[in-house]
Amino acid sequence: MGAISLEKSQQMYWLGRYTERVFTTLQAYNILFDETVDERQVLYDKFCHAMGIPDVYGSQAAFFENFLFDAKDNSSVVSSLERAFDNAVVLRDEISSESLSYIHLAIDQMQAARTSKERLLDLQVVMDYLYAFWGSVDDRADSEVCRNLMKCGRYVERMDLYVRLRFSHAEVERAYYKLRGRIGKTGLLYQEEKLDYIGECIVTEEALNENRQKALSCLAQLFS
Amino acid sequence: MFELVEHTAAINKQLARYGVRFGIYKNNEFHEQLFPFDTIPRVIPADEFDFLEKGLIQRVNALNAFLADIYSEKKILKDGIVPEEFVYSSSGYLPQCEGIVPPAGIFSHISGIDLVQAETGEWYILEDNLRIPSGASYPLIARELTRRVCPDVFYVNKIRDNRNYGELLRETMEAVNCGGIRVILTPGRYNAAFFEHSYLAEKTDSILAMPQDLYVEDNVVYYRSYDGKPQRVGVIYRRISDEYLDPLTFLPESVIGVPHLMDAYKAGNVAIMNTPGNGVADDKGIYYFVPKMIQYYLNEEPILKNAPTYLPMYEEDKAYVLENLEKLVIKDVAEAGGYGVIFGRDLNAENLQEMKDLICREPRRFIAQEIIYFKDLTTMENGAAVERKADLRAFVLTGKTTKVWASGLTRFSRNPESFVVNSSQGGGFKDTWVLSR
Repeated sequence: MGAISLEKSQQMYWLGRYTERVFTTLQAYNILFDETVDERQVLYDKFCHAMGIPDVYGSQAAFFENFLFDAKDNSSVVSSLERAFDNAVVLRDEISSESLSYIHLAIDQMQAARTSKERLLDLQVVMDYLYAFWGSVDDRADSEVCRNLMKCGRYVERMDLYVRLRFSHAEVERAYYKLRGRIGKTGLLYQEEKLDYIGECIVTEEALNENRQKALSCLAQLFS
Repeated sequence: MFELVEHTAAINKQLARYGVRFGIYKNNEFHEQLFPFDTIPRVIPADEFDFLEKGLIQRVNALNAFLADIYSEKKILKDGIVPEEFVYSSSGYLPQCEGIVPPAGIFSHISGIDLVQAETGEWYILEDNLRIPSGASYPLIARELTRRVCPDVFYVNKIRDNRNYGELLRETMEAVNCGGIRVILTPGRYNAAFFEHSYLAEKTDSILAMPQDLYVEDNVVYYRSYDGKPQRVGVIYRRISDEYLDPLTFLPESVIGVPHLMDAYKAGNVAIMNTPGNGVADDKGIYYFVPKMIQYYLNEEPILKNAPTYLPMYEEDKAYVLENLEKLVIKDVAEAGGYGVIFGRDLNAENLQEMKDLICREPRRFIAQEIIYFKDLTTMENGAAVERKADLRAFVLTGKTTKVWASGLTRFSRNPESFVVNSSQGGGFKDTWVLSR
């Protein structure tokens, strides 16, 4: 029927952020895990530092287990997925039951992955469900506002994680322009000068390497 | 239809996928549970449904007439058909609703009428739910999913399509819409029936709103839109109890609700469905008088029967109840959800005497009913077919006319000894097939 409350607008934005967080951290986790094939010991504590999360794990083995599955750890992937669900479940009328079902499937798949012998392959399916979720919302949500808010949330989160986790300059730049193109369509009040400054911080690979913290700080203040 | 059984796991998996759950509170913690679905449906032949349909429409029309009368002229009290004390001592009677005429004069827009079929095949009304009856969404989504799994079963059996519930509900909302958007008002995601609230919002193309999303200005209800452009609300299908609707009219300590909502409603600027104050008509004590209401308001004989009921506040009934307590079922009129139901046969001599004393002390608090021996329905349990007690909640919608949804929620007990079928007490559900021929 077209009307969206302030609370729902926030839920859409955070739904975008949390689903992106699950997706991108799983991507990063895969890369980190892959390094153990050659190195056996990886610097997971540096990963935590880059993510801006406390290293509460104590060992590499504990990290690889708990960062994924410990629901009591607010930084874990499963926690982010549950927060995504918290936001999605109250938006059924906007995003459709069909879209919401992909979040349910992702949660079930996450649980299945915990005891799986092919854990990474099962986690890949979680990512597949998130792709399906985004596609479904794009296709089924009637409200353009809903789609814009969710995408804006996704791109803010993506920028944040790509910068933190040292994704390539090309990927960061692509994320930036996606955010830039979307944010103006949401109707949200944001600080344009901060957005411009982020653009300057990432204009070249060298600039990005020098200005990561500045870019992150501006991103955090985008809506303040 | 037994072909469906082999697909039970697949269908329940689909139900989980779509979040078909209900919430319960245990030890002050909220838990969501899947609502177990048994694929073997209750089947109602076409002629039997025609009979039920007539009886249900008649009953709901009489109940609507009763509510209109109670909150205005009270003729039925003046004529001595219903004793005054039954109305005024009912917790469902709300003096704040006196004199209010709701849009289109409809009080109970969505009525959930609970029936049981006795072993003899005869149907009995067990209770009327005229406040916020829940449960339609479960057979609605179960049908949708079952059709995907077993299309041939539906082709062969010629079953009336029940997937029009959203459309019927939307029509009902539009029949009383005072000009504005349609809203389904939920207390929030930790409500036991939140799945249903959100699913029906989707199916009726209405806005799912929390109380804080609504506000009242100059006796008009608005939806607080994030872009700062308020949207006028014309109809609210509320899934919040009466007492929490408006803290300025009902419970002042309530932190939910929409202040001044009742002012907007009194001014005729918004429809609230179901209407506040309906609890007076679905009180377990008032149930006894519904057949009399049908005769009084419609000048017709009741088509559907009540379960034989006794009111201990009448001396004659009290004497019978005290004499026959061990073969009766006692219900506390203030309780719901299967709570407060006591079978006399389950009480030992001491407890039986305590119950008798309690009835003598508080005769208005209880009703007593003859036990109806339900016709058991075949249900699958751990791969084996077993017989279980089941009831049927029929949904009757009143808008421009009164219509019965050609389906319903069949709830069954998973405990072989129990007659209590409520989901909150561990029951499961079945689809209800109404045959088209």
